[in-house]
Amino acid sequence: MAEGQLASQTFQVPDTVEAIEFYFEQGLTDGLPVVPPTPDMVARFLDASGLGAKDVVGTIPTRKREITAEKVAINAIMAGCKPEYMPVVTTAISAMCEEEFNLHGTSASTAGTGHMVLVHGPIVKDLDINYANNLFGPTKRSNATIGRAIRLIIMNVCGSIPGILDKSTFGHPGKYSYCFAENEELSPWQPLHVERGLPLESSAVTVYAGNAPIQGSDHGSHTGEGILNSIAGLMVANGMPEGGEMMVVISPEMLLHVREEGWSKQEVKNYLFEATKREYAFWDTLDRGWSSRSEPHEETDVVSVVESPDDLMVLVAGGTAGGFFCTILPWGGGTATKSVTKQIPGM
Amino acid sequence: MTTETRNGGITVMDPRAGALDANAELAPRPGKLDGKVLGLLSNGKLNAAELLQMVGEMLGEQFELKYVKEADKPDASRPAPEDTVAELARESDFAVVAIGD
Repeated sequence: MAEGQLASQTFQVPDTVEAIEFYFEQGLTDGLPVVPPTPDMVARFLDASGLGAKDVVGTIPTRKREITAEKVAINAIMAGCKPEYMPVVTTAISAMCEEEFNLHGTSASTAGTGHMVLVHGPIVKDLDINYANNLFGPTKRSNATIGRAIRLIIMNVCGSIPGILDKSTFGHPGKYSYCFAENEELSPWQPLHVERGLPLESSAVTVYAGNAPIQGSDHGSHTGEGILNSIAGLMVANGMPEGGEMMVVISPEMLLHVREEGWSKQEVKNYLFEATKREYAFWDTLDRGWSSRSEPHEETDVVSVVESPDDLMVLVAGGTAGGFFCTILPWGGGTATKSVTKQIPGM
Repeated sequence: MTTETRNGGITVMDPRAGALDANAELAPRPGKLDGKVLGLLSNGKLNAAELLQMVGEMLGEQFELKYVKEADKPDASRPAPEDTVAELARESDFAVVAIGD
């Protein structure tokens, strides 16, 4: 596309180093240097997105803001993306703008959640997105910059500037970038996007307002049940039955006995659902500001940490060595946000 | 990779977007509050209702309010339903919204 179709204000700066300083001075970064977004680069990124500059990728009605493809491109460049990452970024933003995700709430709240982008399908290998060692740490350019682009868009386009509209008390390191993929080769199960009705050969993203990963381990159990009981223990230790989803990421080694015993993913979800049931009296003693569900109940009635096994997102990812797993709780107990899975258009 | 300008500098672009109706104006101020209907919208946060009740009582002591119209948001983390906002706007002359955090 022609650079002349771009609508954003431009600034003249002496050179690239000065440009980097300029974005710091204007408060337009996450605290790290950005790649200066020049009009020719923005045009190239828009070409790679298949969108026009003025095309609206999503809206955030509470703030009366539109996120145009041009603004996505500018922020993606700043984050260090390659042009070919654009379809992932635009689809993720589009998914976050679905009402059930609640982009406004998740990016304003004191609860300080991250905005996770989980990538599925052939595009994971095409873009070299990490699903193995150091899953949530620094590895690939794609993981680091796609998640960072999301954060810069939320800050610069949606206005979630820390202390102003982003009132996070703590936030978490995933707010710099929170992008990864499932290990679809080592998983014995269907990936999440296929569970949710998309073709196996399609590429898609799932966005989830996720708190920081909480890691657990089990290097002693020699049965699937033992492994799953360890996972259930951490789910109960940190979660509350507030009606939200929960993500469980299991490493290939941790999954060994579960895989060898032939558990289906649904059986794993059902088992975790049952194993995380506790009496109301138990949840009440945790006193995390939880108000017991309103339906009439006795203290000895039991309720699981999630309302349904289908509220569990169970994934296989991480390095092959180490019997570790992570639980990732949703923003604010998950009462006002739901994960959204969306196919990348044309992929 | 960069766009050279005539003086050897580079051109870079603004990543920000403003609100669509940034030029919207405030509603007319109600003037004296005597005889007016006060709207109270609780957002459902802990103690928001108590906070609003106190605000209502204080305003009631200072002004001859016609009456107080109360409304609730069912979910503190989502916008108030349009019907709730419309009803509050229709019935009340001015409104106070609580956070209560």
